Amino acid sequence: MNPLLHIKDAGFSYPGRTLFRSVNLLVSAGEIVHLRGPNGAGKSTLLRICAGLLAAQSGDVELDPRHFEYLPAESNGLHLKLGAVDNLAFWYELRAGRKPRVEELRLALATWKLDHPLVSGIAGGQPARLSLPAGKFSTGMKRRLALARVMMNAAPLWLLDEPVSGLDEDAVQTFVTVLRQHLAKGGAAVIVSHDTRIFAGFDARVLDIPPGGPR
Amino acid sequence: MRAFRVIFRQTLKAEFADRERVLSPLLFAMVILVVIAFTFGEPAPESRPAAFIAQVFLSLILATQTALARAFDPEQQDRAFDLLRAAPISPGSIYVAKLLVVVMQGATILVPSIAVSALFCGVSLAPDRLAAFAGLCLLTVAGLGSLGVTLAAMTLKAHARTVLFPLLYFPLATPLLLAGTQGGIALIAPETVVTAASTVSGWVTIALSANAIFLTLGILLFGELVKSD
Repeated sequence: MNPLLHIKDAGFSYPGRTLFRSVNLLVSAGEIVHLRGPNGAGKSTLLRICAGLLAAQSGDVELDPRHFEYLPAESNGLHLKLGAVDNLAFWYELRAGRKPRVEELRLALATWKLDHPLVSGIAGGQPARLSLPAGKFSTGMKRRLALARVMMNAAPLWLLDEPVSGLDEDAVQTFVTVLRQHLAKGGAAVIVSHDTRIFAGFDARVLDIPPGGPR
Repeated sequence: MRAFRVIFRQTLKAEFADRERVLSPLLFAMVILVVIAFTFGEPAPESRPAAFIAQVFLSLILATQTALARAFDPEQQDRAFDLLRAAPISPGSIYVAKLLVVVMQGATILVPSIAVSALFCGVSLAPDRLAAFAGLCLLTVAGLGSLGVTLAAMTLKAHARTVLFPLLYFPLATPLLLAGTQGGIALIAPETVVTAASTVSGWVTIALSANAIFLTLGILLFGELVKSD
Protein backbone atom coordinates (compact mmCIF):
# COMPACT_ATOMS: atom_id res chain seq x y z
CA MET A 1 0.00 0.00 0.00
CA ASN A 2 1.31 3.47 -0.91
CA PRO A 3 2.09 5.64 2.11
CA LEU A 4 0.00 8.79 2.51
CA LEU A 5 2.98 10.68 3.86
CA HIS A 6 6.70 9.99 3.61
CA ILE A 7 9.15 12.28 5.37
CA LYS A 8 12.75 11.48 4.51
CA ASP A 9 15.62 12.96 6.54
CA ALA A 10 13.84 16.29 6.92
CA GLY A 11 15.69 19.05 8.73
CA PHE A 12 14.92 22.66 9.57
CA SER A 13 16.90 25.42 11.25
CA TYR A 14 16.48 29.05 12.05
CA PRO A 15 19.64 31.17 11.99
CA GLY A 16 21.71 30.01 14.96
CA ARG A 17 19.22 27.35 16.03
CA THR A 18 18.53 23.88 14.71
CA LEU A 19 14.92 22.86 15.25
CA PHE A 20 15.22 19.29 14.04
CA ARG A 21 17.30 17.18 11.70
CA SER A 22 16.92 13.79 10.06
CA VAL A 23 13.24 13.33 10.77
CA ASN A 24 11.87 10.21 9.09
CA LEU A 25 8.25 9.20 9.07
CA LEU A 26 6.09 6.93 6.98
CA VAL A 27 2.34 7.16 7.45
CA SER A 28 -0.04 4.68 5.86
CA ALA A 29 -3.82 4.32 5.83
CA GLY A 30 -5.40 3.63 9.22
CA GLU A 31 -2.45 5.01 11.20
CA ILE A 32 -2.36 7.74 13.78
CA VAL A 33 0.90 9.46 14.68
CA HIS A 34 1.39 11.61 17.75
CA LEU A 35 4.08 14.24 17.17
CA ARG A 36 5.44 14.88 20.65
CA GLY A 37 7.97 17.27 22.08
CA PRO A 38 8.45 20.32 24.28
CA ASN A 39 7.38 23.82 23.27
CA GLY A 40 9.56 25.19 20.51
CA ALA A 41 10.89 21.79 19.44
CA GLY A 42 9.54 22.25 15.90
CA LYS A 43 6.40 20.09 15.86
CA SER A 44 4.24 22.78 14.25
CA THR A 45 7.05 23.63 11.87
CA LEU A 46 7.21 20.00 10.77
CA LEU A 47 3.45 20.00 10.12
CA ARG A 48 3.77 23.25 8.12
CA ILE A 49 6.49 21.60 6.06
CA CYS A 50 4.21 18.61 5.45
CA ALA A 51 1.41 20.99 4.37
CA GLY A 52 3.77 22.65 1.88
CA LEU A 53 3.75 26.00 3.68
CA LEU A 54 7.41 25.82 4.62
CA ALA A 55 10.27 24.30 2.70
CA ALA A 56 12.43 21.76 4.50
CA GLN A 57 16.06 22.81 4.44
CA SER A 58 17.19 19.24 4.05
CA GLY A 59 15.52 15.99 3.18
CA ASP A 60 12.24 15.55 1.39
CA VAL A 61 8.52 15.27 2.05
CA GLU A 62 6.30 13.21 -0.24
CA LEU A 63 2.63 14.08 0.08
CA ASP A 64 -0.07 14.47 -2.52
CA PRO A 65 -1.64 17.92 -1.99
CA ARG A 66 -5.05 16.49 -2.94
CA HIS A 67 -4.91 14.00 -0.11
CA PHE A 68 -4.61 15.98 3.09
CA GLU A 69 -6.37 18.50 5.29
CA TYR A 70 -4.33 20.81 7.48
CA LEU A 71 -5.43 22.52 10.68
CA PRO A 72 -2.96 25.02 12.15
CA ALA A 73 -2.63 25.50 15.90
CA GLU A 74 -3.29 29.18 16.41
CA SER A 75 -5.81 29.83 13.65
CA ASN A 76 -8.67 28.09 11.91
CA GLY A 77 -8.47 29.23 8.30
CA LEU A 78 -11.92 30.84 8.43
CA HIS A 79 -13.24 33.83 6.53
CA LEU A 80 -14.27 35.69 9.65
CA LYS A 81 -16.86 37.96 8.04
CA LEU A 82 -18.73 34.99 6.57
CA GLY A 83 -21.00 32.49 8.27
CA ALA A 84 -20.45 28.82 9.04
CA VAL A 85 -22.11 27.55 5.87
CA ASP A 86 -20.19 29.89 3.59
CA ASN A 87 -16.94 28.76 5.18
CA LEU A 88 -17.71 25.04 5.01
CA ALA A 89 -19.16 25.16 1.52
CA PHE A 90 -16.17 27.09 0.17
CA TRP A 91 -13.52 24.61 1.28
CA TYR A 92 -15.71 21.66 0.35
CA GLU A 93 -16.34 22.91 -3.17
CA LEU A 94 -12.69 23.73 -3.64
CA ARG A 95 -11.69 20.20 -2.65
CA ALA A 96 -14.57 18.11 -3.96
CA GLY A 97 -15.28 20.08 -7.12
CA ARG A 98 -18.99 20.32 -6.36
CA LYS A 99 -21.23 22.23 -4.01
CA PRO A 100 -22.11 20.39 -0.81
CA ARG A 101 -25.70 19.29 -0.33
CA VAL A 102 -27.63 20.96 2.48
CA GLU A 103 -27.83 17.58 4.21
CA GLU A 104 -24.05 17.23 4.19
CA LEU A 105 -23.66 20.70 5.64
CA ARG A 106 -26.32 20.05 8.25
CA LEU A 107 -24.70 16.77 9.31
CA ALA A 108 -21.25 18.36 9.67
CA LEU A 109 -22.65 21.26 11.68
CA ALA A 110 -24.82 19.01 13.86
CA THR A 111 -21.88 16.72 14.60
CA TRP A 112 -20.01 19.71 16.03
CA LYS A 113 -23.09 21.18 17.76
CA LEU A 114 -23.11 24.19 15.45
CA ASP A 115 -26.61 23.56 14.17
CA HIS A 116 -28.38 26.48 15.85
CA PRO A 117 -29.95 28.54 13.03
CA LEU A 118 -28.15 31.69 14.16
CA VAL A 119 -24.83 29.90 13.99
CA SER A 120 -25.31 27.56 11.06
CA GLY A 121 -27.31 29.87 8.84
CA ILE A 122 -29.68 26.98 8.06
CA ALA A 123 -33.23 26.91 9.40
CA GLY A 124 -35.54 24.11 8.35
CA GLY A 125 -33.50 23.30 5.25
CA GLN A 126 -33.48 26.92 4.10
CA PRO A 127 -30.88 29.64 4.60
CA ALA A 128 -31.71 31.53 7.80
CA ARG A 129 -32.43 35.24 7.57
CA LEU A 130 -29.86 35.97 10.22
CA SER A 131 -26.63 34.15 10.83
CA LEU A 132 -23.57 35.13 12.76
CA PRO A 133 -20.28 35.65 10.95
CA ALA A 134 -17.56 33.26 12.12
CA GLY A 135 -15.68 36.20 13.62
CA LYS A 136 -18.41 36.46 16.26
CA PHE A 137 -18.01 32.82 17.30
CA SER A 138 -16.29 31.91 20.54
CA THR A 139 -12.80 30.37 20.38
CA GLY A 140 -14.20 26.87 20.83
CA MET A 141 -16.91 27.37 18.20
CA LYS A 142 -14.36 28.56 15.67
CA ARG A 143 -12.30 25.46 16.38
CA ARG A 144 -15.34 23.23 15.98
CA LEU A 145 -16.12 24.84 12.64
CA ALA A 146 -12.54 24.28 11.52
CA LEU A 147 -12.77 20.62 12.57
CA ALA A 148 -16.10 20.33 10.75
CA ARG A 149 -14.27 21.56 7.64
CA VAL A 150 -11.56 18.91 8.09
CA MET A 151 -14.15 16.20 8.66
CA MET A 152 -16.36 17.21 5.76
CA ASN A 153 -13.64 17.37 3.14
CA ALA A 154 -12.87 13.69 3.63
CA ALA A 155 -9.18 13.86 2.72
CA PRO A 156 -7.40 10.62 3.70
CA LEU A 157 -4.67 12.33 5.73
CA TRP A 158 -5.28 14.85 8.49
CA LEU A 159 -2.46 17.08 9.67
CA LEU A 160 -3.78 18.53 12.91
CA ASP A 161 -1.94 20.96 15.16
CA GLU A 162 -3.44 21.13 18.65
CA PRO A 163 -6.90 20.19 17.32
CA VAL A 164 -8.68 20.20 20.69
CA SER A 165 -7.25 23.49 21.90
CA GLY A 166 -10.15 25.58 23.24
CA LEU A 167 -12.69 22.75 23.01
CA ASP A 168 -14.96 21.73 25.88
CA GLU A 169 -15.11 18.14 27.13
CA ASP A 170 -18.10 17.32 24.95
CA ALA A 171 -16.37 18.56 21.80
CA VAL A 172 -13.19 16.64 22.70
CA GLN A 173 -15.29 13.46 22.81
CA THR A 174 -16.81 14.37 19.45
CA PHE A 175 -13.30 14.78 18.07
CA VAL A 176 -12.30 11.34 19.33
CA THR A 177 -15.40 9.79 17.76
CA VAL A 178 -14.86 11.53 14.43
CA LEU A 179 -11.18 10.56 14.44
CA ARG A 180 -12.10 6.92 15.09
CA GLN A 181 -14.54 6.98 12.15
CA HIS A 182 -11.87 8.57 9.95
CA LEU A 183 -9.33 5.84 10.79
CA ALA A 184 -11.92 3.11 10.32
CA LYS A 185 -12.56 4.40 6.80
CA GLY A 186 -8.85 4.02 5.97
CA GLY A 187 -7.82 7.56 6.85
CA ALA A 188 -4.70 8.53 8.75
CA ALA A 189 -3.76 11.41 11.03
CA VAL A 190 -0.62 13.14 12.21
CA ILE A 191 -1.46 15.08 15.33
CA VAL A 192 0.43 17.56 17.46
CA SER A 193 -1.22 17.79 20.86
CA HIS A 194 -0.19 18.39 24.43
CA ASP A 195 -3.56 17.00 25.47
CA THR A 196 -2.76 13.28 25.48
CA ARG A 197 -6.33 12.25 26.46
CA ILE A 198 -7.31 12.22 22.81
CA PHE A 199 -4.90 9.37 22.07
CA ALA A 200 -6.39 7.08 24.73
CA GLY A 201 -8.02 4.12 23.03
CA PHE A 202 -5.95 4.54 19.86
CA ASP A 203 -2.86 2.61 18.93
CA ALA A 204 -1.01 5.84 18.22
CA ARG A 205 2.59 5.79 17.06
CA VAL A 206 4.71 8.42 18.79
CA LEU A 207 7.35 10.51 17.03
CA ASP A 208 9.37 12.45 19.56
CA ILE A 209 10.82 15.75 18.45
CA PRO A 210 13.17 16.76 21.23
CA PRO A 211 15.02 20.09 21.07
CA GLY A 212 17.62 19.82 18.32
CA GLY A 213 15.80 17.01 16.54
CA PRO A 214 14.94 13.35 17.08
CA ARG A 215 17.64 11.14 18.55
CA MET B 1 -11.49 27.16 -14.00
CA ARG B 2 -13.77 25.72 -11.35
CA ALA B 3 -11.30 26.62 -8.58
CA PHE B 4 -11.17 30.16 -9.94
CA ARG B 5 -14.97 30.47 -9.86
CA VAL B 6 -15.18 29.12 -6.30
CA ILE B 7 -12.41 31.43 -5.04
CA PHE B 8 -13.85 34.42 -6.89
CA ARG B 9 -17.28 33.89 -5.35
CA GLN B 10 -15.85 33.51 -1.85
CA THR B 11 -13.49 36.49 -2.25
CA LEU B 12 -16.40 38.62 -3.46
CA LYS B 13 -18.57 37.54 -0.52
CA ALA B 14 -15.78 38.16 1.99
CA GLU B 15 -14.99 41.56 0.49
CA PHE B 16 -18.54 42.85 0.44
CA ALA B 17 -19.44 41.28 3.79
CA ASP B 18 -17.10 43.81 5.38
CA ARG B 19 -18.72 47.17 4.74
CA GLU B 20 -15.70 49.01 6.08
CA ARG B 21 -13.50 47.57 3.32
CA VAL B 22 -15.87 48.81 0.63
CA LEU B 23 -16.89 52.09 2.17
CA SER B 24 -13.61 53.46 3.49
CA PRO B 25 -11.85 53.77 0.08
CA LEU B 26 -15.05 55.20 -1.37
CA LEU B 27 -15.38 57.75 1.42
CA PHE B 28 -11.69 58.55 1.09
CA ALA B 29 -12.20 59.31 -2.62
CA MET B 30 -15.22 61.49 -1.85
CA VAL B 31 -13.33 63.40 0.84
CA ILE B 32 -10.50 64.14 -1.61
CA LEU B 33 -13.00 65.49 -4.13
CA VAL B 34 -14.81 67.61 -1.57
CA VAL B 35 -11.56 69.08 -0.22
CA ILE B 36 -10.40 69.98 -3.73
CA ALA B 37 -13.78 71.52 -4.54
CA PHE B 38 -13.79 73.55 -1.31
CA THR B 39 -10.23 74.70 -1.86
CA PHE B 40 -10.27 75.63 -5.54
CA GLY B 41 -13.95 76.28 -6.13
CA GLU B 42 -15.36 75.85 -9.61
CA PRO B 43 -12.55 75.97 -12.18
CA ALA B 44 -12.46 78.44 -15.06
CA PRO B 45 -14.39 77.16 -18.10
CA GLU B 46 -11.22 76.44 -20.14
CA SER B 47 -9.70 74.39 -17.27
CA ARG B 48 -12.79 72.37 -16.45
CA PRO B 49 -12.01 69.22 -18.50
CA ALA B 50 -8.46 69.04 -17.18
CA ALA B 51 -9.59 69.68 -13.59
CA PHE B 52 -12.29 67.04 -13.93
CA ILE B 53 -9.84 64.43 -15.20
CA ALA B 54 -7.23 65.31 -12.59
CA GLN B 55 -9.75 64.98 -9.77
CA VAL B 56 -11.07 61.64 -11.00
CA PHE B 57 -7.61 60.12 -11.32
CA LEU B 58 -6.30 61.65 -8.08
CA SER B 59 -9.18 60.22 -6.07
CA LEU B 60 -8.91 56.92 -7.92
CA ILE B 61 -5.17 56.37 -7.41
CA LEU B 62 -5.23 57.33 -3.73
CA ALA B 63 -8.39 55.42 -2.84
CA THR B 64 -7.39 52.27 -4.72
CA GLN B 65 -3.97 52.38 -3.05
CA THR B 66 -5.59 52.13 0.38
CA ALA B 67 -7.73 49.23 -0.82
CA LEU B 68 -4.94 47.40 -2.63
CA ALA B 69 -2.40 47.64 0.18
CA ARG B 70 -4.67 45.45 2.27
CA ALA B 71 -6.04 43.33 -0.55
CA PHE B 72 -5.34 40.06 1.25
CA ASP B 73 -6.50 41.12 4.72
CA PRO B 74 -9.73 39.01 4.69
CA GLU B 75 -7.69 35.89 3.90
CA GLN B 76 -4.93 36.81 6.34
CA GLN B 77 -7.19 37.38 9.36
CA ASP B 78 -7.50 33.73 10.34
CA ARG B 79 -4.80 32.46 7.98
CA ALA B 80 -7.27 31.20 5.41
CA PHE B 81 -4.61 32.23 2.93
CA ASP B 82 -2.30 29.50 4.29
CA LEU B 83 -4.97 26.91 3.58
CA LEU B 84 -5.41 28.31 0.08
CA ARG B 85 -1.66 28.00 -0.46
CA ALA B 86 -1.79 24.40 0.76
CA ALA B 87 -4.78 23.52 -1.41
CA PRO B 88 -4.28 21.72 -4.74
CA ILE B 89 -5.16 24.73 -6.88
CA SER B 90 -3.27 26.94 -9.28
CA PRO B 91 -2.00 30.13 -7.60
CA GLY B 92 -3.02 31.92 -10.78
CA SER B 93 -6.68 31.27 -9.96
CA ILE B 94 -6.25 33.01 -6.57
CA TYR B 95 -4.58 35.95 -8.31
CA VAL B 96 -7.18 36.39 -11.04
CA ALA B 97 -10.08 35.98 -8.58
CA LYS B 98 -8.60 38.65 -6.30
CA LEU B 99 -7.91 40.91 -9.29
CA LEU B 100 -11.50 40.73 -10.50
CA VAL B 101 -12.82 41.57 -7.04
CA VAL B 102 -10.39 44.49 -6.80
CA VAL B 103 -11.53 45.79 -10.20
CA MET B 104 -15.15 45.57 -9.05
CA GLN B 105 -14.23 47.45 -5.91
CA GLY B 106 -12.41 50.01 -8.06
CA ALA B 107 -15.56 50.42 -10.13
CA THR B 108 -17.54 51.22 -6.98
CA ILE B 109 -15.09 54.07 -6.37
CA LEU B 110 -14.91 55.13 -10.01
CA VAL B 111 -18.60 55.67 -10.75
CA PRO B 112 -19.32 58.07 -7.85
CA SER B 113 -15.96 59.78 -8.39
CA ILE B 114 -16.83 60.60 -12.01
CA ALA B 115 -20.30 61.79 -11.02
CA VAL B 116 -19.12 63.97 -8.12
CA SER B 117 -16.15 65.40 -10.05
CA ALA B 118 -18.36 66.25 -13.01
CA LEU B 119 -20.75 68.00 -10.62
CA PHE B 120 -18.05 69.97 -8.82
CA CYS B 121 -16.26 70.94 -12.04
CA GLY B 122 -19.42 71.79 -13.92
CA VAL B 123 -18.56 69.33 -16.70
CA SER B 124 -21.31 67.88 -18.79
CA LEU B 125 -20.39 65.07 -21.16
CA ALA B 126 -22.31 63.51 -24.01
CA PRO B 127 -23.25 59.90 -23.15
CA ASP B 128 -20.83 58.42 -25.70
CA ARG B 129 -17.93 60.53 -24.39
CA LEU B 130 -18.85 59.68 -20.83
CA ALA B 131 -18.96 55.96 -21.61
CA ALA B 132 -15.61 56.14 -23.41
CA PHE B 133 -14.04 58.05 -20.50
CA ALA B 134 -15.46 55.56 -17.98
CA GLY B 135 -14.05 52.72 -20.08
CA LEU B 136 -10.63 54.37 -20.10
CA CYS B 137 -10.81 54.81 -16.33
CA LEU B 138 -11.84 51.17 -15.91
CA LEU B 139 -8.88 50.11 -18.01
CA THR B 140 -6.66 52.12 -15.70
CA VAL B 141 -8.32 50.53 -12.66
CA ALA B 142 -7.70 47.06 -14.12
CA GLY B 143 -4.02 47.87 -14.63
CA LEU B 144 -3.70 49.36 -11.15
CA GLY B 145 -5.41 46.22 -9.81
CA SER B 146 -3.02 43.86 -11.62
CA LEU B 147 -0.06 45.79 -10.29
CA GLY B 148 -1.53 46.25 -6.82
CA VAL B 149 -2.47 42.60 -6.24
CA THR B 150 1.04 41.52 -7.27
CA LEU B 151 2.61 44.08 -4.93
CA ALA B 152 0.20 43.15 -2.13
CA ALA B 153 1.34 39.52 -2.47
CA MET B 154 4.96 40.63 -2.64
CA THR B 155 4.69 42.67 0.55
CA LEU B 156 2.49 40.19 2.48
CA LYS B 157 5.32 39.16 4.77
CA ALA B 158 7.15 42.49 4.79
CA HIS B 159 7.39 44.17 8.19
CA ALA B 160 7.14 47.64 6.67
CA ARG B 161 4.31 46.77 4.30
CA THR B 162 2.45 50.06 4.70
CA VAL B 163 5.61 51.97 3.71
CA LEU B 164 6.88 49.56 1.10
CA PHE B 165 3.63 49.20 -0.83
CA PRO B 166 3.18 52.86 -1.87
CA LEU B 167 6.91 53.19 -2.54
CA LEU B 168 6.62 50.47 -5.17
CA TYR B 169 3.06 51.17 -6.31
CA PHE B 170 3.15 54.84 -7.23
CA PRO B 171 6.26 54.83 -9.48
CA LEU B 172 5.15 51.68 -11.28
CA ALA B 173 1.63 53.07 -11.77
CA THR B 174 2.97 56.12 -13.63
CA PRO B 175 2.54 54.78 -17.20
CA LEU B 176 -1.06 53.89 -16.45
CA LEU B 177 -1.81 57.26 -14.91
CA LEU B 178 -0.16 59.06 -17.79
CA ALA B 179 -2.15 57.04 -20.32
CA GLY B 180 -5.37 57.56 -18.34
CA THR B 181 -5.04 61.31 -17.85
CA GLN B 182 -3.65 62.13 -21.29
CA GLY B 183 -6.09 59.77 -22.96
CA GLY B 184 -8.87 61.46 -21.01
CA ILE B 185 -7.78 64.90 -22.18
CA ALA B 186 -7.56 63.72 -25.79
CA LEU B 187 -11.04 62.27 -25.42
CA ILE B 188 -12.84 65.05 -23.58
CA ALA B 189 -10.98 68.16 -24.63
CA PRO B 190 -9.16 67.36 -27.90
CA GLU B 191 -8.85 71.08 -28.68
CA THR B 192 -6.40 71.48 -25.79
CA VAL B 193 -4.08 68.72 -27.04
CA VAL B 194 -0.89 70.28 -28.29
CA THR B 195 0.86 67.40 -30.05
CA ALA B 196 -0.43 65.31 -32.90
CA ALA B 197 0.84 62.19 -31.13
CA SER B 198 -1.69 62.65 -28.32
CA THR B 199 -4.50 60.61 -29.78
CA VAL B 200 -6.95 58.60 -27.75
CA SER B 201 -5.97 55.38 -29.47
CA GLY B 202 -2.29 56.00 -28.74
CA TRP B 203 -2.93 56.41 -25.01
CA VAL B 204 -5.33 53.47 -24.94
CA THR B 205 -2.61 51.36 -26.55
CA ILE B 206 -0.21 52.38 -23.79
CA ALA B 207 -2.82 51.59 -21.13
CA LEU B 208 -3.52 48.20 -22.73
CA SER B 209 0.20 47.43 -22.94
CA ALA B 210 0.71 48.29 -19.27
CA ASN B 211 -2.30 46.12 -18.41
CA ALA B 212 -0.89 43.21 -20.40
CA ILE B 213 2.54 43.54 -18.77
CA PHE B 214 1.21 43.82 -15.22
CA LEU B 215 -1.29 40.99 -15.70
CA THR B 216 1.28 38.65 -17.25
CA LEU B 217 3.83 39.43 -14.55
CA GLY B 218 1.18 38.98 -11.87
CA ILE B 219 0.07 35.56 -13.09
CA LEU B 220 3.67 34.41 -13.58
CA LEU B 221 5.01 35.77 -10.29
CA PHE B 222 2.11 35.18 -7.92
CA GLY B 223 2.87 31.49 -7.41
CA GLU B 224 6.48 32.28 -6.58
CA LEU B 225 5.50 35.10 -4.23
CA VAL B 226 3.18 32.97 -2.11
CA LYS B 227 4.93 29.60 -2.23
CA SER B 228 6.69 27.93 0.71
CA ASP B 229 8.49 30.33 3.06
